[in-house]
Amino acid sequence: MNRDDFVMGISGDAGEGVVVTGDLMTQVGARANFQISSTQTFPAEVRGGQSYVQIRFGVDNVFNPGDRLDVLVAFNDLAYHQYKGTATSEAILIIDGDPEKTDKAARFADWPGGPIYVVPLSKIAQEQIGEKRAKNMVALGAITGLLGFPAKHGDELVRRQFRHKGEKVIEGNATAFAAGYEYARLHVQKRDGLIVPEIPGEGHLVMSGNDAIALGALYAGCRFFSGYPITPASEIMQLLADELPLVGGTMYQAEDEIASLAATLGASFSGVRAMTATSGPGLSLMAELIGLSGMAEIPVVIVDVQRGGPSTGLPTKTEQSDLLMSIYGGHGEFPRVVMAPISIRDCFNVMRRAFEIAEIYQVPVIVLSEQGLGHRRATLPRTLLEQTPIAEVARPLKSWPSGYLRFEFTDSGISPRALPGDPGGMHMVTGLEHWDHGGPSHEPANRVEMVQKRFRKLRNLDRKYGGVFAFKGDGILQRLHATTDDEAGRLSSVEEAFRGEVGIIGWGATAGVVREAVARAERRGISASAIFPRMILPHNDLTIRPFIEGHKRILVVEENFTGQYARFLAHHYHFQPTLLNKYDGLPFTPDQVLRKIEEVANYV
Amino acid sequence: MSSHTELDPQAAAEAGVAPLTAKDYKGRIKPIWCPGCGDYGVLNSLMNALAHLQIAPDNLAVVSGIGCSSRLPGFVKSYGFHGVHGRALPVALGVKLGNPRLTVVVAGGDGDGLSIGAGHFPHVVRRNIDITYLMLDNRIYGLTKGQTSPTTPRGIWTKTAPHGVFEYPMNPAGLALSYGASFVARGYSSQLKQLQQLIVDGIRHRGFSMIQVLSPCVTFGKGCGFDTLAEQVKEVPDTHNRQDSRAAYMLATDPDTMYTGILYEDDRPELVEVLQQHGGTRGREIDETGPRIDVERLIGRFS
Repeated sequence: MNRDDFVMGISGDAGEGVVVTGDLMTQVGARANFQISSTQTFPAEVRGGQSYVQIRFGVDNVFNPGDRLDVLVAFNDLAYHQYKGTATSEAILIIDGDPEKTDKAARFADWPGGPIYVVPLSKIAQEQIGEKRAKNMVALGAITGLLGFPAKHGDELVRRQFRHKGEKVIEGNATAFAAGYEYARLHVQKRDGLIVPEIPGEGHLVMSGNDAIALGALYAGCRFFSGYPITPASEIMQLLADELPLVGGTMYQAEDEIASLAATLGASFSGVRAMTATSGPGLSLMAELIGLSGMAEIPVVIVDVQRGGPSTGLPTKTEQSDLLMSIYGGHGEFPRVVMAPISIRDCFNVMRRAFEIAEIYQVPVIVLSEQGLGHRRATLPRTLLEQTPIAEVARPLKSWPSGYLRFEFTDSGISPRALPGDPGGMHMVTGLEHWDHGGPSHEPANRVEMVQKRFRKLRNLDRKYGGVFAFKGDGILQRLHATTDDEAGRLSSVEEAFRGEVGIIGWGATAGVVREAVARAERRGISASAIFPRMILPHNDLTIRPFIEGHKRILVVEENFTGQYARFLAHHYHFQPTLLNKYDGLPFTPDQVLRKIEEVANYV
Repeated sequence: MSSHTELDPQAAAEAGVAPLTAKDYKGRIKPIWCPGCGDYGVLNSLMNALAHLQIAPDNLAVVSGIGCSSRLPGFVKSYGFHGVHGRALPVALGVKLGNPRLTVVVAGGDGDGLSIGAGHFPHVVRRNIDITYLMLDNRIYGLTKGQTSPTTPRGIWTKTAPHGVFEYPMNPAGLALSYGASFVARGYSSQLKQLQQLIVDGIRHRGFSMIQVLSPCVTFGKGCGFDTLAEQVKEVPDTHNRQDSRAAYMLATDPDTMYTGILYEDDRPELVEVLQQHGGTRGREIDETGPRIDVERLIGRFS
């Protein structure tokens, strides 16, 4: 077993505290300076059904939560049976039970892995604090002890976790943790080689994709958020509800998604950087107002944490099926930008760009995350928060000369924007077609000029912002970007990632898995590389065309049924890429992508 | 400060600046309403009210949805927001939260506010945010040329009710009262003086103010009960206690008489003030001296 890169699964009934155990385990690892990627699945209901958390611990290069389990922690036998199939042949099993009375050979006859540790989790919880429910904290202690993580992090984190629940609950859970830890150290005879290494450092941050989006927005100067609760996006709103008032901002929970975007546009009109976040059903409701943002040239950032659709679909599962709605959805034609962060770190970074583009170009910017990214957690360096510059948010009053025209025709298509309160800048914005001063107009020549003016704003946007993340077999991430024909030529002739047998194009959260699959393919002698454009619309032909032309076969990896990005690319390039699609609600694993790469490579 | 900003006439006079008159609020666009439309009366009353309050046009936001009456922002010199159908109230709320110094006036019709936008009305009411909502009630869809609206009286013929309107009409002022608005009034577009005063009082009210304005449609409103309006309209009796919401509701829903005047008003916490007490909602005024992101605390929260 590789102690520098291992995967742990924790499973149990929903309501047994699996998720909190996973969260704390992730933080224990982060404080021990592991790089971590963790993911959770839970049923749509609060209780009932199975909960599951998967955590990958690595010394470096952890891009996804992995596939095969090296450690399975099962809170009951049902949980064991559900996840035993993903265990490696050396995997450790930690399971609740009485070690004296358990006939391991009979109970775990179908266990494909290695050592089995039957630990009396419920019994210890009952004996120590009279609460069987605390068995998850006993389990946390037992895992910590068995794997050799320092106990002090766990103790601190458990106390912090329950800090609002009163002294009795705090002490009870801390006691349960300590008892589990002690049991593992004193009563379990260790029969595996998995002792975690000591990694120097001051500990990492742990964030979910939703956390990172909220913090990224905060750093980008967002000071207004309006939203409506929806899984899996609500955590963005919840975090901003805490944080925005502390920096003079506002979080407003609206009565529905239509009102959310309406209020967001109102606040943006007033001159505050404003956003909303939702999931597919909410984005559907917002369609009309997204058009208003485009028509009235009011900047806005809209985050869609996608989930399985259509209709109510799979609220707690992941999918990438809102792409074409984001690109084409809504009536009429207006300029817009669609971006897709590729990782949790990128969730933080993309928000800066999204707000910058929305504000400069006065367009709606849709940011496509997904459940698998929003609810996934990863470690990030402290420097992300320490060193990222915080955007200026002050908007001093500005006087405007007489004759000010809000929608003045300019070469760039971008018109100067007076904000309410500014002396002399009075004007009206409207969703009607309008004159340069804002008043309604049906006049044909003006209509033509206005449509062209609005679309002119996008003219160089793809060149300015349309870089791609590229991965070659070495697993190293490059950011490549052609802004001229010469640079496009250089990509073709110089960049290794732009040549090879199999070229993968994906978008969004699948990057972490594809990155590892490409590296594994390389180790098997297959030349594969991948690109992930962060800005999907406008489409950066200069960067993407050389990649397509440089590969024998293009594979488009997407979590949807119809191949939405593949269709979009086919529409541009009149070719038929090979598709790898998944729409079962679960993210890809590196193995699944690797198998497809091998299949395509053999065909090549 | 969350309420509107009135200019000080004395200071203006000393500085040699003439006080604002109703004409100073004339927008760039000439009204396109039909001759005789009640909305002209509302527009004039609004301009007179603004002049009375000396609200600077650059500190005024006029927000609307879609419909005949929603064209109003273009006719008033201000920062205007003519949005999409039914969403005027949440837009206006965002405008106010984005810059609490602005005076925010919303204009919209009975269809905009009680049909497509009906879901927003109670929620903006219960936030008690300091904006003034003029619901110009013409009891018909005028812009689309004569279909049934939520306030069309029973029995009359419209283009979408060829056998007569079957549904019971909604009562805008009654609804505002039942939703718990902190200021509810009713005016009539032909009673300019009273309407002007109602708008002044509504804007001055610290919290959400709703004014239902009976504003007949001269083109499609025939048969909508406006022909007898002059006889029906009566001022709220002097004896009425404006803090008595039940009495207000009885007046608002009286089957025979359209009572005009202030039906209800009370004094209670206003949304922006409450948000500002917690440090938030500083609008575009956030500046160098304002609160900064506490990086150390965030690092603690996420490690």
